[in-house]
Amino acid sequence: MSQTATQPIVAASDVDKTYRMGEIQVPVLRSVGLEIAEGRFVAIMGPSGSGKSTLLHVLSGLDAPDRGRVLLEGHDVYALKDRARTLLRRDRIGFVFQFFNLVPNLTVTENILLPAMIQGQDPSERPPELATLIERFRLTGQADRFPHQISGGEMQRVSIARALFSQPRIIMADEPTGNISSRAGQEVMELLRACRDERGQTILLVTHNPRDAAFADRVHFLKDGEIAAHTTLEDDAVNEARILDCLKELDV
Amino acid sequence: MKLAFLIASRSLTSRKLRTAASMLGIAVGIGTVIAIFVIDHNTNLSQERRRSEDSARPDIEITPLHSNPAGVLDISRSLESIPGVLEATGAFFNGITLVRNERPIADLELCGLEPGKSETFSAYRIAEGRDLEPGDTEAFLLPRGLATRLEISLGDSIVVRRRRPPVRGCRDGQIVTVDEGGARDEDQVQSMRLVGLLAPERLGRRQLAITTFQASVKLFRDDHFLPIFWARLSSSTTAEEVQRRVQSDFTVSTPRFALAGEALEEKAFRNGVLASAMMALLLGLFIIFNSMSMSLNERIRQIGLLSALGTTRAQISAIFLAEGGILALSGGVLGVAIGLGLAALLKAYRITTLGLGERVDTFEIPLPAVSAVVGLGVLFALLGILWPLVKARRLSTTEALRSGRADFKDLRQRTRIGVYLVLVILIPLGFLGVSHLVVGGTQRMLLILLKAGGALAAVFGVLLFCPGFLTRATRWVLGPWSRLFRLETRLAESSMTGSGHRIFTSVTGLMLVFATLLGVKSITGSLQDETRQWADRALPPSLYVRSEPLDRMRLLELEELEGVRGVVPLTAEINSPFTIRGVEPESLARTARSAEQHRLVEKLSAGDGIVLSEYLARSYRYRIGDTIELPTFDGPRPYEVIGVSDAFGFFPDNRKYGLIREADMRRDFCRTNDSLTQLAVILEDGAAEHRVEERVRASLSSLEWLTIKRASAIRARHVREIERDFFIFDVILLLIVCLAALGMLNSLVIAALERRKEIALLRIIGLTRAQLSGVLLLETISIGLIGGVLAALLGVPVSWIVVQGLANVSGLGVAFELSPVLLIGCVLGSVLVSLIASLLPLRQAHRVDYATAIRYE
Repeated sequence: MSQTATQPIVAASDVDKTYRMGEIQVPVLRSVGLEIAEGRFVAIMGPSGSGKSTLLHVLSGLDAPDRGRVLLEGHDVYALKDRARTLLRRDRIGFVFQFFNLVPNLTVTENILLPAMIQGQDPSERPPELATLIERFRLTGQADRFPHQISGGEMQRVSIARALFSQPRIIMADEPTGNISSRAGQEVMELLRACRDERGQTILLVTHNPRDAAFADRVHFLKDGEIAAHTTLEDDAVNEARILDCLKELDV
Repeated sequence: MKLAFLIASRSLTSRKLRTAASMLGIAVGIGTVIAIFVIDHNTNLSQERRRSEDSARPDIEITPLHSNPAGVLDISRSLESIPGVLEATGAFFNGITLVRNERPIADLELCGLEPGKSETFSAYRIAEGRDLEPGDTEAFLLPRGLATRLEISLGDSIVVRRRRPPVRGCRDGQIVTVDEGGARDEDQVQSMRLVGLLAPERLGRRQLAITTFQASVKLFRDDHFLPIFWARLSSSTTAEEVQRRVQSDFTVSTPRFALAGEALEEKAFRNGVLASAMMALLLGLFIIFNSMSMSLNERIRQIGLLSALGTTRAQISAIFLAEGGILALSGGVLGVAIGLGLAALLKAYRITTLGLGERVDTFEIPLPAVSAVVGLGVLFALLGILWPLVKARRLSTTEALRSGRADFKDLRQRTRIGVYLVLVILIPLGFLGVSHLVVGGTQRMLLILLKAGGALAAVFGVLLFCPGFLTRATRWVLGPWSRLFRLETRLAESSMTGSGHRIFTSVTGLMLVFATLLGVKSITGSLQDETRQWADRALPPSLYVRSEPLDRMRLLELEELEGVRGVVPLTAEINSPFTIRGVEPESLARTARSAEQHRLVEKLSAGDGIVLSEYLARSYRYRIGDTIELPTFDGPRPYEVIGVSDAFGFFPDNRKYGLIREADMRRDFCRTNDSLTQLAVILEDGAAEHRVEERVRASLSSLEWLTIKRASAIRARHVREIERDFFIFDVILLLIVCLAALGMLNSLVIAALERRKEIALLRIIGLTRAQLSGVLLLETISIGLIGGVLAALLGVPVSWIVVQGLANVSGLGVAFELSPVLLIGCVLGSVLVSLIASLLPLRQAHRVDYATAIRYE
């Protein structure tokens, strides 16, 4: 599973994806090519319906493209069988969603432990990093509560804690601040940034919020299913004002 | 309304599997009950129609043991004073001749009846003129056709002369003809006036004249006459009970045409079928309610959304009612079609509520009962769909929108009591009202039903009022699996404990079905055991021979055959009030197999004693030492019950019989074994039945008519007949198992739909297909196990109660026997049904498009 230093951790080439509803065909991704190096924080921006989430799903092995290849740590994701693809996702990727997606009948602690439980860990065993995570995400008082008993911001923190718990090499976040307050959103983005800075994890963020995208090292703009290459921002160029300019330039 | 129908129809068409499962649940629930009601109705109707068309319809006939009984005119009143006898009338039949101008014009039967009783006993209907009135001593009625033929008009007077056919009787073993009588010629005639003409139905179809009981008694007062009395009984009284009350003076019999469906065993059987139908109804309504109300969270979110968009509560109600209405009505129509189709199939294959093989000639639909069942089904469907509205009233729009969390656990105590009352009390009572459950026979039967209902109510109450019970049960069941499948167990547990409503529904459904199955199979098993035990007692290796008359020499030849232990002549037989056979103690002694049997034979040989079969003794509650008075020509003759045993005297296929000494039968009834037509050939131990049969056939080869039945074949047939008769239960059970499977399927489909997002999430973060299958299968197996174990806990006491009750009312010596195989089979069956029901939802869970589910749902 190891990869060479130069090899991108996530790579997509010539990816096409079209949704079909009866006779209507809606092309969502067109010849998308993308490479993400390990340890980078990459944001994908675009207007609603531009294909951001679809691209994330295709890159994470959730939704097969009609054409093109996706490589994850050098593995051709869609050449793998379902089980192998599931295990690759389980071991390498942590997901954060806009709508939290916590399991309603499991407690906060159990939701955080869920990936480890799926890997076979006994839920009654509480590893030390769990306590650290709960403390860091300020969930100490909520550890034994159920999702419906905590706030939206707390739910999202649980969701990120869950994504981080098994220390995946990649974190894929789909509009993680879309459903929480701006203060809670700021907190969530800081946590994601810290993952990249402190743990060297690769972050792939899908957002339409320029303030969130400004936390990234690199921002790709997606319009009508294509990556508008000439408006990609990188490193020092990434800031909220430049992002807004790019969006304006793209007429979004 | 347009919006309501639009949203309702979209909701139904978007979830096709759920819609189909709900509709089928409603349809099968309604259809099962309708099928049973229709076939029961037509079984009875056919039996009724087949009853003699030219007789009255009393429940019982009571015959005095003495001819010319004293105070005959008051007997009816004293019979009516017996508790349970609603009404009684004297009925007297004897021969008369109508005389005109001193010339006989017709020989008729004269029927004397008490005035005003015709309607009660469905005896006749007046077509023209008037009915008889009290005090009419010279009035009579004639069938209209007969009067026309004889040219007798209303108001005409005619001379009636009694005919005196010789009365044959038995006195001290001699047949006597009574032809002397002190009647003077002038007493033998009476002038009577025709006051009414009978319609050609019931007695009006016969060649008879009807007058008042008083007038007929007067006409025949100094002759040898034996009136009979007809009585109508309350539904809780049996002929046997009346017999015990009038034991010393009368014999009570059930008229031949009133037998079908009215004997105690048959009543018990029909009650069993109807009770199973009630279980089907209960289960059906329960499933209907839950099918509609189960997707509570989804619906509450929907209510929140509609409410947020400004939809009024009335509009929301209309949407839900439209959806429920479409589903319930289409399910109802389909249910009626299924019910009638099934009833037609049952009719075609002669599967009736009186057992297999009874012919059903009619196919009428009992509209009130069918309408009530459909109405109940539709009502429950609507209640089910409105349930989320009731729940949503307690939530604000934002709460409803945000989580829509509402569950069975949140039910208020008052609501629980309401549900309990409806399911455990109102529906069964309503069912009793609609189905006319055959409580008749005895209050004991009602008591059995109450006891069984009490057990059901107790278990149901625990489930309803202690929601924590199911949570704990879930943990107990899942506990052992957690070592092997830690994650799957935890996820299954969290899902189950978080979905109390769904689990309650599924578990209760399975419990009801498999408790019924356990009950029915236990009863069948107990009856078969009883039959086997009876066969062990009453059917030693033997052959039962029926033939044209044989002389004694032939009997001696048969006794000499190899393998024959002895031959018991069983030809001398009377039926009054039950079968009594005259047997020769010497022949019994040759075939007795134990010291006890020898002692019994010795007692019998002393004379004036009667040995009763166990079934007969139980039915009439006779004990050793009791005296039974048998009607003879010279009045009642007392016989002491000297034994209760099945060891001797059985002849196919009557298990209710008594044995007296042949000499006593000769003396009192002039019936003998001199000329033999019925023989029991008892075999030596170890002799092969078929070999001995060949020898018997060879020995009697000169006879033109001979039938031989083997004891082993009789035994096998009796056991087989129980299975055959109970076949309708298998059909009902199959239907309610399907119903439970549908309920379970519906529950799992709804659960899978509601958990699409959860399933998607789990798959996204790495749950493999095998692990997902494991979670769902563990959940399914647990529900099946809990349902099965509860079914056993409910089924065992209910079966025990029913079997005890059956022994009590039927006179059969049935004892409850618990078969471990049946018990285990019941639990495994419950698990199997759950697993079968889970296949589709499992497939559905695997086909969840998790990228879409996670994003949009």
